[in-house]
Amino acid sequence: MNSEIMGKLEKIVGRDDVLVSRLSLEMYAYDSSPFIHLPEAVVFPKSTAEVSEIMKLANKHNFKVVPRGAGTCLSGGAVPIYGGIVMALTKMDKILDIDIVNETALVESGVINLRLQQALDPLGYMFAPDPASQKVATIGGNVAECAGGIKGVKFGVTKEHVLGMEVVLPTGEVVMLGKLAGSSLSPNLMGIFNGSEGTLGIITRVLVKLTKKPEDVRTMMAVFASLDKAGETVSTIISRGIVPTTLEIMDQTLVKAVDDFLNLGLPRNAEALLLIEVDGHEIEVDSQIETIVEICLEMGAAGYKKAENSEERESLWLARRSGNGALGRIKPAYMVQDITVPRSKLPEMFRLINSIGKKYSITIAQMAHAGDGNLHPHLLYDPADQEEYHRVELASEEIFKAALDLEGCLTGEHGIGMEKLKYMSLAFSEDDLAFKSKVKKILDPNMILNPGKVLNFGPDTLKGDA
Amino acid sequence: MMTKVLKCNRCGFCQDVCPTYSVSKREYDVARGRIRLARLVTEGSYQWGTYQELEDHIKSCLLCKACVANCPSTVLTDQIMMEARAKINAAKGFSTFHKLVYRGMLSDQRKLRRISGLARFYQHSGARKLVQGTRILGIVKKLKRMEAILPDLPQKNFSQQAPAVLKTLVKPKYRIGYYVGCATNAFFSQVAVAVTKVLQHYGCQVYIPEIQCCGGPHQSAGDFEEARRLAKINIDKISELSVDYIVTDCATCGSTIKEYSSLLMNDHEYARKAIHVSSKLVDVNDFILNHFEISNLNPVNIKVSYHDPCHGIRGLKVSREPRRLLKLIPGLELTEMKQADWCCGGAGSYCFTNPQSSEKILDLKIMNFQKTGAGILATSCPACMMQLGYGLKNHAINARVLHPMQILLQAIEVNSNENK
Amino acid sequence: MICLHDLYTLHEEIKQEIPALSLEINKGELIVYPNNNQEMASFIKYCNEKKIQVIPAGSRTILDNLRHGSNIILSTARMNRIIELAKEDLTVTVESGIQIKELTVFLKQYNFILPVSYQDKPASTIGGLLARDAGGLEEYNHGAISDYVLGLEFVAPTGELIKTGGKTVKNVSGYDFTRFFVRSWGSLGIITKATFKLKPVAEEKCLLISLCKNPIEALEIMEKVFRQKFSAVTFLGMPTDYLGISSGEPYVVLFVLAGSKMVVTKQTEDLSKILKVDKQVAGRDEVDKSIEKIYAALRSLQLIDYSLQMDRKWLFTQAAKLLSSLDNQGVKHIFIDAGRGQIEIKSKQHLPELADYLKQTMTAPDILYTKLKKSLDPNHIMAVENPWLAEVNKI
Repeated sequence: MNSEIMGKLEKIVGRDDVLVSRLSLEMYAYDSSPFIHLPEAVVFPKSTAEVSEIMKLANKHNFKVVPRGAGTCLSGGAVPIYGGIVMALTKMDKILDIDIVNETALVESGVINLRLQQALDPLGYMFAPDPASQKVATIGGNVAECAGGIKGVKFGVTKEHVLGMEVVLPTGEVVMLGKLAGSSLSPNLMGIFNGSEGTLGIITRVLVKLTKKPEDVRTMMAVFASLDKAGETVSTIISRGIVPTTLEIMDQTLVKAVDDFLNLGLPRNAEALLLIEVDGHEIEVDSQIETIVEICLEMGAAGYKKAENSEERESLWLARRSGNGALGRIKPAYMVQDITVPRSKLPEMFRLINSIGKKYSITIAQMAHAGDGNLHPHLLYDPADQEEYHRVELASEEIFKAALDLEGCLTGEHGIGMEKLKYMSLAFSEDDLAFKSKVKKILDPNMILNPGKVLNFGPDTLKGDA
Repeated sequence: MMTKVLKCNRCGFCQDVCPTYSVSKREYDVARGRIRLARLVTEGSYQWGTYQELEDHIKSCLLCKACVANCPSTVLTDQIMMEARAKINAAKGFSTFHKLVYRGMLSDQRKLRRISGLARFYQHSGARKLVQGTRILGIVKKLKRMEAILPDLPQKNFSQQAPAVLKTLVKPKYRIGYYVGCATNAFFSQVAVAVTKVLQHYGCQVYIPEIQCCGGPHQSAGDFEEARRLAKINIDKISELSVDYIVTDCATCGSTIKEYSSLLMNDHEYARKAIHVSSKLVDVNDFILNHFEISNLNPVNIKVSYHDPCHGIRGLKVSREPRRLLKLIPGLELTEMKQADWCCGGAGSYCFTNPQSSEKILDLKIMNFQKTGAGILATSCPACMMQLGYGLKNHAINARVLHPMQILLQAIEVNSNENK
Repeated sequence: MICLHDLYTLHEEIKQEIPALSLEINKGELIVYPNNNQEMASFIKYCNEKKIQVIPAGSRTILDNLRHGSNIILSTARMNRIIELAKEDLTVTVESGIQIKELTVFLKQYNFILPVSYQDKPASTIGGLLARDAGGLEEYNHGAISDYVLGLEFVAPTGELIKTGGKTVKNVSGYDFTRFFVRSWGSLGIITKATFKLKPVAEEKCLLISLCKNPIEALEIMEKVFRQKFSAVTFLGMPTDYLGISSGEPYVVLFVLAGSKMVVTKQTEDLSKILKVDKQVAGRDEVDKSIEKIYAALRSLQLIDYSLQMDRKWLFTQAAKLLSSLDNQGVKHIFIDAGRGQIEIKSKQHLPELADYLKQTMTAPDILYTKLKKSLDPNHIMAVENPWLAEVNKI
């Protein structure tokens, strides 16, 4: 990228908000995925107008642009794999309006999820999507990746909480969509930006739906002699008309690792641990949790524990949250998958994953947002052992195929990014993929916005460092 | 270092708790970025001591451990940063500032006393005005900044006051070695006086060992060699005492001494001695709260907010104790500020070496304090006290910084004229 | 526009090309009834090649009175099967021609709902509801139909059969086109199949009715209740006549509470404390039936329908002025849906002062739509006669 373009970028966002030094570029070469590639510059726009200017410039001079929020994508969405500039939206971080009567909030896309929650909390509201990264991830990133989270079973995923967007198209035009459009009858194609992974446009503002904070919450844990039974219990609870906010399953490998790590006194001989949380009105949560206890026992739970106070609740959650860190005690690294299957297929999927692990002699620790059929099998390996890593890759592919056979999908909340590009053809027909490509080409004729993600355009030169 | 660095899977959760990131919003100012830099060097892409930028990013870390406490993969960023600094020192040699202040002053109690004596003379005589008016002080920027941050020094340091304060008790309940750190001794002798008096009030025989700097500042700057030398001297001095506990009022000294054994890991004899020393070491708030019945206190009608020193909450793991102690004082209203456990930006000599970042982090802290409406900002670390005092002065806020022991002493002393 | 003679010729040509298709000519229209997705795809491919313009239609509850002249109507009426109800997964897969009331009745047997109300337009097809992104009477609580689509199958204007989404709530595999048809009015393709997530039916419902003087007072009552954060799913205001209650007061406010028995009982009590409740209907089915009756009465009136799609804040802070002006002119048929933030006015008169508000709801499609429409439908065959899209059609 030549100095003329740099000069123009500096003119748009100001000299301080363009980084070009070698080491600064190293700092924006990665996200939370294993992929790494250096950008040629990093810019920090402060307004929609600046974003639009940059996109126009990029089209004129044909350089690539990769939008970035907090850089917590697990599938490589924020990695500038073909170079170009990284556009960090972290400076567009204002909460512009909170409208309690309409139950909406208008935010710039760089607002951190947690900051919005903190602003809403005293008003008795929340923004329902709560991905694990919510303390640092931005709303724009949540929307672009269609973030899930542990409350997904009751409140759904991010796209169900977005009412309007302001988007800068890859060619630089600014469009107001959904409830920001000022028209409630005209076509509203806002939906295509949900989970578009920053490839169809740059989301600059989001009008989000607010959800009333529940009055009360009850948390419990039940242990089962098999993953199967835990999975069946999940389906049974929901088919009886109770929709908990959380239904998390951990397998024995994880339970043991966490217990070694934190000494919580977890039931180490249990094959599966199910963490359940219900929320709602004060007067109904107790009877709901009682019904769930009955169902668990009916399904053969070996034991259960209800949290009697907030401290006990915290300790039940601690076990769930410490999973990732605790696995480091077994093997130095892991590859985590994100397949999702219809809820009733959970027991079968658990079984299949276990047998795939055995087939390739690798340890797979299973945890799942079971309520919405979203599994996170952690395939453990040692980066120094190339051969083991290869087996992990083979096992992953087999897991994908198994999930698709069960009418599931490749990824529930982490995104395709670069990580799962090569598996897209397993999941979609040629026509399906061609239609997706067509839409991308219509909106981004010069292929400059976040190329190499979701769909495979250009040379296959992806490089990982795992 | 490689193993420690590899543990980072770049989840980025450190962005939430990193004070330097909160003010700059740049990836090189957060643990994930710094660890990435360390990894690039360990993998051979860059060399320590080549890029000034590399050094800046490594040195812009406060070592506040907030990321460590919140890391799902328990990456020890503070240790990695200290080791990285040691590597930079090895490649480039020590900075002038380091040689002058750390090895020159802090490493030698006698020199430190002489220099602080001079500084005191400078502050109290007319010389200050004279110098400030001219440009003599501007020669070294960092020293100039030091000039601004240093609190008004007491007339006498604690070593000079000790003989008058120390009492011999007939039947002491405990025999206490009181570790008076450099900053407490030179800048906050009133804290040391308060600690001594409080301990004596509860029936402790207090001994003041002649120690050296704990070596904490040296470690932070990546000078492990000097830190080990100082640690050994201190271990010997402390081991000579026959006491029940070693009490400290300084979170940094306390947590440094606690970790002597890992610093001296390769020296079996001293590592063993260090474990013994560390088993006796206790934070003064913790000690008082858990060994005595605190009653019959006079009311002290003030509103207090407590700032957690990084080395207190995440080093010594002391944060409830000072609060519980303060709550026992009748009339005292304890109010929590937002982000009470965030670094104040002082971070030892960070306030001198990284003034811009330090100021912004301090502003955040002062703003949070101001919102509580409290008149007293309490904390248990002289380095924090220095930084916070400077912050209050700078923002012209009518409030004072006190160590909990100073407040407790007020509540103990019947004729305290501080009592409103 | 084509003449009747051409329609007969076309009828023969299509018959020859795709013999399985059912066709009929009625009232100057050629109506094509594909029996399945393959027939649908072949027909559209054929239309695209021959540049024949078609109008996708379901039950024509909305389109019918908007369109004039002889046209080719592509009807989903014969594609009305329920393909799969996955009870444990709480999902249902249907063809796009199924009517909402039929689907609702079917799902109710299993205690499930797709929370899009059927009472106002029972014949609406799923495809049509998706194409206009309908919400319905409980939209405040449940959102619109697009919030429930997990997967779609549709035929693009160039004839390809495309699948998007799937059977799971969480799914970020590639672009999400499940909301591609929101207010597309059939112009971007025709939906053939959809998978929805379902909700368990509310255990209990209660309808509370409070009489008042006029719509302005009704809004005040609604705001008061709204701010108390009750579990209300519906907030309606309408003339008393529609309820078949004889009373001195001309206007009523209706609230529907829904949830578990415990919550509804408790909240009914609480609500009665701050609200003068004149009539109360308890029981889930009874409440649904009462609402259905009201809307049946409404449909029989045959009045011009002005629908102002605003928002709640506007209703509570700015609507009063318009309402009193309408009152002065003797306009009585005013319906308020505070949940959705809309006002519907039914009148025999022409009401020019509504023009400003209606304009807000009828702006030209944005550049995003225009770009996609141009390239996805290069021969301009889908729904070009649709007046909602008049602006695009000028391209």
